[in-house]
Amino acid sequence: MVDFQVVTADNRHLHERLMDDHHVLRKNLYIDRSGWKALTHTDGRESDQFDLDTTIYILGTDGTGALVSGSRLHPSTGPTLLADVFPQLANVRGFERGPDIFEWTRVFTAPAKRTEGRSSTAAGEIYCAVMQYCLDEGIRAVNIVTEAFYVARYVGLGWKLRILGESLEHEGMTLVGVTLPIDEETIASMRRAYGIGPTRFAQGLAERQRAIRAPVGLQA
Amino acid sequence: MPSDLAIPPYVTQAFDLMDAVDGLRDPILIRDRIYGLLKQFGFTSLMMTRLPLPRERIAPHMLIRIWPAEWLSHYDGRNYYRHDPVAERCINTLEPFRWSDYAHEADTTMAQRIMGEARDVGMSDGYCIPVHDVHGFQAVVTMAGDRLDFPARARRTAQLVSLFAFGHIDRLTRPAGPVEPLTQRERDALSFAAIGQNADDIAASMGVATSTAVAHLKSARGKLNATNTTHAVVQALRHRQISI
Repeated sequence: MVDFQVVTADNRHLHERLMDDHHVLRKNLYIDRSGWKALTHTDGRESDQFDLDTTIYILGTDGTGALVSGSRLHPSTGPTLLADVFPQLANVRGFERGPDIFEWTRVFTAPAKRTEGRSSTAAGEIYCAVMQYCLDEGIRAVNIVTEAFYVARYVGLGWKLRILGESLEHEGMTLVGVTLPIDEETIASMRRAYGIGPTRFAQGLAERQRAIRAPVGLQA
Repeated sequence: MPSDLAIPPYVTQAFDLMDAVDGLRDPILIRDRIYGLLKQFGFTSLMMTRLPLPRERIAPHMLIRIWPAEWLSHYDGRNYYRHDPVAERCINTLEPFRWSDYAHEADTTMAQRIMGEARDVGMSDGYCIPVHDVHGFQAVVTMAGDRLDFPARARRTAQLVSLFAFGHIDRLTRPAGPVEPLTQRERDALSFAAIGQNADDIAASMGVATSTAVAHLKSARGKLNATNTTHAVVQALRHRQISI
């Protein structure tokens, strides 16, 4: 069973080790394994321009407290891939920004937890955790820059994806920008597809909602 | 809204298509919209199919097609899938590719014959857009024609449309809930149907009356939530309840 920690500027001091483990895992996955050239690392830890006080981290841990999966959300009103790095990915439809829309980046699972080629339960759990968090917090849609081949899988899972523009070749990947509206039906469909139950958040609902309503550093 | 480069009409057409796909429940209608988009580049044939193991036949796995019927039965009748250099490339990549980039690697007589016979039915060249479904199983959207004019930007557009449409059709053709296991007789009947036998032939193969064979097929269709026997065969193959 995976427990999900929601880490924000408010409670980060309680989760320093977990956050550090997550930066180490990101360096391992995105720089060492995937070879993403735009990323940099210091001391074996990877972070980028979207790791800010306003960023929300959703980190999955196992029974021993070890990191097994993770993802992050950052406000659409702040720096985002779609606005600042790949604006051409929204050249046909444009994209929405607002206090209830976030950009969703970096979904990952620790290598020991994966099943090669197929969608593993660990992947399903982190996807559902992020979507459940969004639903609970009133985040009505997320913008995502992803690789094109995922579109078939996501649409197949019942995501009501809206593709925002033409695809772009970048570092050997075909990137595409999409918007995903968050709703109960989509999450339920995901849980059925992966055969997983409700998400277990370590922080209760009220505690999580406090964090999103008064994020530190967000410009009004 | 950013608009640095002019948007070609076919891109607008593609995005309108994707918006429309959401509301379409019939794969045939999705097929016709895609075909309508691809025709302008010289394509005359289109197929979206899941990819079985090399020793199997393609026909039970097809989702949509506008494809010469005689070519298809000829292709499956001779087990071309096993020797087709294009099919082999599909299994090994996620990147779209042009047939002619791999056809010249056809180093067996069989492979050369397949490509030559494809030319004879109006498929001088084509493109494959490989797809992975929810479970990681492979599929492809393949398109062919005689005189193609298919610039890179159009290829990227076709890839987006193919991935998006496949996701929808995958979802439409999957059973709604968990699949009830088939009985051995139901599996036998579907296996014979999968290799092209009609009800009388299936009955003869199984040593039962035709009405019995028909009943097995009907109950199999019910369990798999399939609209017809071909659909039932596809579902049974996907859920590994039968293999050929």
